[in-house]
Formats: sequence, structure tokens, C-alpha cells
Amino acid sequence: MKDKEILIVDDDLEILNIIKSIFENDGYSKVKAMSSAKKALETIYEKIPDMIILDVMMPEMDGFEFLQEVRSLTKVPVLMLTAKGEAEDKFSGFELGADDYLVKPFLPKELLFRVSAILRRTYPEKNRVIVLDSAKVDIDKAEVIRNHDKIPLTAKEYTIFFKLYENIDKIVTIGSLCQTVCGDFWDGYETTLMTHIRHLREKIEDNPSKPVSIVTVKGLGYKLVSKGE
Amino acid sequence: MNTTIKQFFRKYLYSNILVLLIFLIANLIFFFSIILIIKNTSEEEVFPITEFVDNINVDKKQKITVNSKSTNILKEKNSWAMILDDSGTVIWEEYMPENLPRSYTSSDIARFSRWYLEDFPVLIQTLPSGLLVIGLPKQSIGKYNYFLDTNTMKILIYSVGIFIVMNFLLMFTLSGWNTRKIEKAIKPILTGINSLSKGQYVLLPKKGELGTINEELNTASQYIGKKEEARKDWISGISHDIRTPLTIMLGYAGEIEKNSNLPTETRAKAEIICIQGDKLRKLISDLNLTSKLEYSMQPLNIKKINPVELIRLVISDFLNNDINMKHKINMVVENNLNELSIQGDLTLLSRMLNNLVQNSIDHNPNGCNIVVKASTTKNYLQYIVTDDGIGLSEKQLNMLNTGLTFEGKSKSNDGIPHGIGLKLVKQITHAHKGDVSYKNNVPNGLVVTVSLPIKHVQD
Repeated sequence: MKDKEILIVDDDLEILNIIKSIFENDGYSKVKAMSSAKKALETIYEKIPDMIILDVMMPEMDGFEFLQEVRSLTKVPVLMLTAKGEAEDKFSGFELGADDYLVKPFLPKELLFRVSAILRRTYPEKNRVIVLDSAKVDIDKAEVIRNHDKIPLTAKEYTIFFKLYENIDKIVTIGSLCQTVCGDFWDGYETTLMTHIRHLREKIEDNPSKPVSIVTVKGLGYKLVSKGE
Repeated sequence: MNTTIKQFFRKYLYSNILVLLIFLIANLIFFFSIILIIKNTSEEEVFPITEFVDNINVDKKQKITVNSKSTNILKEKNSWAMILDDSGTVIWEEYMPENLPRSYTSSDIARFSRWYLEDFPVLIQTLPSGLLVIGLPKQSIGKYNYFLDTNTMKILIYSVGIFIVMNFLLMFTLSGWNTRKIEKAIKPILTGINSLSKGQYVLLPKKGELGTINEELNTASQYIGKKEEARKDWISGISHDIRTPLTIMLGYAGEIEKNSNLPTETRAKAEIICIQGDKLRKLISDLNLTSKLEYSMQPLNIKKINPVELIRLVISDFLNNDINMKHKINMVVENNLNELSIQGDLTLLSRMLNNLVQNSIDHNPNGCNIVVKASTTKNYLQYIVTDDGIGLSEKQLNMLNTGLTFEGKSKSNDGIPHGIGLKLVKQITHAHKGDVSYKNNVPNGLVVTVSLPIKHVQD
């Protein structure tokens, strides 16, 4: 994941440097920073990067125009940086095809979290196997490996597990979990969700009544806990 | 338009009609009393004919005698009298002028009964003994004879009726028309003042009788508008200019904090820069939103919201990003709430709850327990954010509840924590037609109650 090529486009050199530095310090090895939108477009014509981080307000060519050019060429994920106040509505629904956006100023860890989430989603690793406390989960095959047994996950269990995995070590609310299964109208699905969680625990946990991997955060939701060091 | 203005003109119209009504009634009363007075000045006033007749005696031999009373009446009234028999011959007379004939044909009688007898106005009364004729002094009364058949009477009564109805109609239309005219001239001014008080832009027509006042209102509106515009630009401009430097600061401070090659003390200081920088970051975002809400630039994105999930999202956001875990955040939800949904702007409402929790955190840096509770009353959904921290002084509570701090009446901030954040809470609540109130918790801490009207999805 950290070997993906990231292109940063921003006219402000200081911002450019700090973003580059944030990614490099987090272990990303191929980070390219460009202060001119036109030059950046030229490099994209030559070789398409894996991810673009794009400032909205730039002279000569703004982020939206840049994005249109890029979209005519490729579906590469784009995260836009905005100083707000500028065409904020354009972001609603990501009409122009940006994958996500972040308002300046942002916390470095927020940027890293968003980018890694996009990368994970866009470039799913092959043979992704998550190691949990008492089992492993093969994401691609949608199966649990436990004591040399292979237990398949149902479609809904998989959807729920994947949502938790995307937000590993973070609380995912009951509502957002229901939403990933049923869409926007999830009223009354809570009890069904609890059943799915119970089945997931039976497959993953050593002691499903005292779960350590899929933990309940009372009233709020659930959290998938990565195996601690 | 404002209901008070409408009421004003309605009252004006009614009072106008009332004035005219009183006027008309007074006139009618006056008119009829004059008629009554005139009617009372009848024959009896001119000549007490009944009394006169009573004193005429006729004996068995058809001899007519008149006693002194009647003679006195004639004298008093300067009149004369005669009685004619059936053939028109005078059979009795008193003070009768010499030059008048003593015998009359029936056509003579017919003529003077209606008009005059040799310029004498006469009164006539039939007696058993003959026809009594009383001659009044010349020029004393005018005699007019009216012939009214029943048809004419009917027309007369109808006409009076129509006259009154027409008057009423005229009164209503004229006063209505008059009120409309005044309303037309004043309405734009009143609506203009109304909009100005709400901070809305006003542009009134310069024409009309009160055009100058309209023009002055326009100028006032432009003046206020310019000031507001400057303020708005200043806020968005300054916050935009702060964004880039703050991004850089937060970035480098974050790097120093994470760099394990540096001394712990330096990294701890960098952490403080990060925390303070983050506060600035939130402040800018609050400042922008509050200015947008104030100028109604932010349209509400109203959607169906699950009120419980709203709390979950806000609290989990805090828990997922919590750095030092000094504050415990819990949620309490009434059972019946799971079925409920409200209409609202999810982003704004989460921001509101977020700011309330953040307020408790900021105000109690040494940690406290925070509870976000959702419950319902008959028409309202209530979010109650409670902490067991240090609470606020009576003065601060009072200011928050009356909103005085937000109107610029209090010069110092008086230690109100995160003022803009709480102002935003108020604005968001009001945008959802709800209300917010602050009070102290027992034994210590703060209780903030946000009440939002429940709108059922069915309607």
C-alpha cells in the first residue's frame, strides 16, 4: 500500500512540502509534488499516478478544471483540498468526480487516514488476510481461517465485516453498519444486525460471549480490534 | 406581510366606517326630529279650533250662541269666524270683515277651502249646524295642499329605504377605497421597516406620495447592507488567509511530535502546538458557519434523521479521535425513541451536538463525565448534554440563556467558554425552529437542553 505513487498538486510550496513530508514520514516511498497544474497534467499524460491530492484554488488552472482534464483520461482516485468558501456545494455528491475532499487546515493523521482508506478501496490487495486474536480472515475469499478450518462468511456477514475492517480500530455506529447492508432506509434493522454480529463472532471469536475482536461499544456500535502487539 | 400591519389597516377601515355610520345616524335623528317639531306646529298651534268649537252652542231653535271664551280666542288670534248653512248663507258671524260676501256658492266654498278667501287663510270645520269657517289674519300662514295617493306613498317609503342603503354602500366603498389608498402608500414603508429590522435588503419604489421616505429607507438599507457585506467579507477573507499558514503549522508540529529522534520535552511541546492549532482550526470553521447562518447563506439540507444515530455518530467521532481519554462520554436513550425520526440537517445537527460536547470538554480540562441524553416530550425531541464538571456562574448562565453575549452588549467575554461554538448551537437550533437552554447540574456541572420540534414523517 505504501508503495503506491501519490501526486500532490498545490501552488503553495510550503503546503506542498508539508504534505509530501507527511506522506514520506508515514512510509510512502513514491510521493511526487508539483506546484504547477499544467506541468502536473503533462506528467499525468506520461504516467498516471495511483492517487492524486489536488488543491482547489490555483492560479492559471483551478482544481476543478484540472480534475475534468484528469477524468477525461483516467479514473484515478482524487482527494481535493479546499480552503472552503470556494464553491463548496460542488463537493456535495462529488459531482465532478473527486473521491473525497478535506478542508484546510486539516490534521496530518486525518489526511493519512483518508488517503489510505481510498487506496485500500481502489487497490484491494491480493491475498489480504487479516490477523485477529483467535482467527484469520481472508478478505478476498470471504472466509475465516481458524484452527486450520475454513469457515465461509455469508454475503451480509462479509459486508458487515468489511465495513468494520475499513474502519479497523475505530467505532462504527449501528446506523452506518445497517446502512451498508440496507441502504438509507434501515429503520428497524438493528435486531437483524445483532444476529449477524452474533454469527460473525461465532466464526471469529474463541469465546463469542466474551468477544475480543468484534467488541461492542455500548449503545454506539461495534469495533473491529486488530491484534495488539 | 406582517400581521400587525394588516390589523392596523383593518382597524383603520372599521373605524372609518364607524365614523361615517355615526355621522349618518346622527343626521337621520336630526332630520326626523325636525319633522316631528314641524308636525307639532299644526293647526292647533295656529288656532285652537277644538277649544273654539267646544264653546259653540246650538239651542233647540237652531239659534247659535258663542260664549266669551271663543270670542276671546278670536280676538287673541286677530281672526274672524262665520258659520254657513247648507245653502251657503251666513247664519252666524263674529268679527267678520264688512267687505266679505254673506252668501257663498258651493264653488266658492270649494275654492276657499283649498286656497284663500279674499287673501284670508281659512280653517274649515264641519259642525252639525253648518260649516264653520275661521278666517286668520292675512299673510299669517301659507297653505299648501298635498295629494298623496297610496302609490306615491309606497314610492316615497322605498326611496327612503334605497336612500339609506345607498348611503351605506357609498360609505363602505368610499372609506374602503380611501383606506386602500393610504395602505398602498404606507404598506411599502412598513414592509420596508419590517425587512430592515430583520436585516433584509430593501428596495422601495421612489414614486408615490411618500416617495422620499421610501428613498431614505433604501439608503438606510444600502448602508446597512454595505456594512454587513464588509463584515462577511472580512470573516471569510481572514479565515481563508489563516487556513494555509495553519495547515503548515499543524503539519510540522505533527511531524515533530511523531519524530522519535527528538527529545521527549520537544515532542510534548509540539503536541501542545497541535492541540492548540486544532482549536484554532475548529474556531475558523465555526466562525465561517456562524457567519453563513447569520446571513442565511447556508441553505438547510433537510432530510429524515434517526435521532439516536445522530448521538452515536457524534460520540463515536469523539471516541475515535480522543487523545487523552480524560473525558468519559456516554449516551442515554429513552426506549420509545427508536421509532422516532425527525426532519433536519444532519451535518448541522451533528455540529450542534459536537459543539456542546466539545464545550464540556474545553470547560473541564481536568476531565469529567459527559452524558448525551435523548428524550421526548409531547411535541419536542430533547437532546440533553450533561457534565459533572465545574459548571458556570449565574451570570454566565444568564448571558447564555438571554443571548446577551451574542448581541455584542457585553464587551468582555466574561469567561464564556467557546463563545462562537455555543452561538452556533443557538443558530442551528433556531434554524430548526427549536430552542436551547442552559442550567447548572446538581451538585455540579452543566446541563444544556436542546428542544427540537418533532415533525412526523407521515405529513
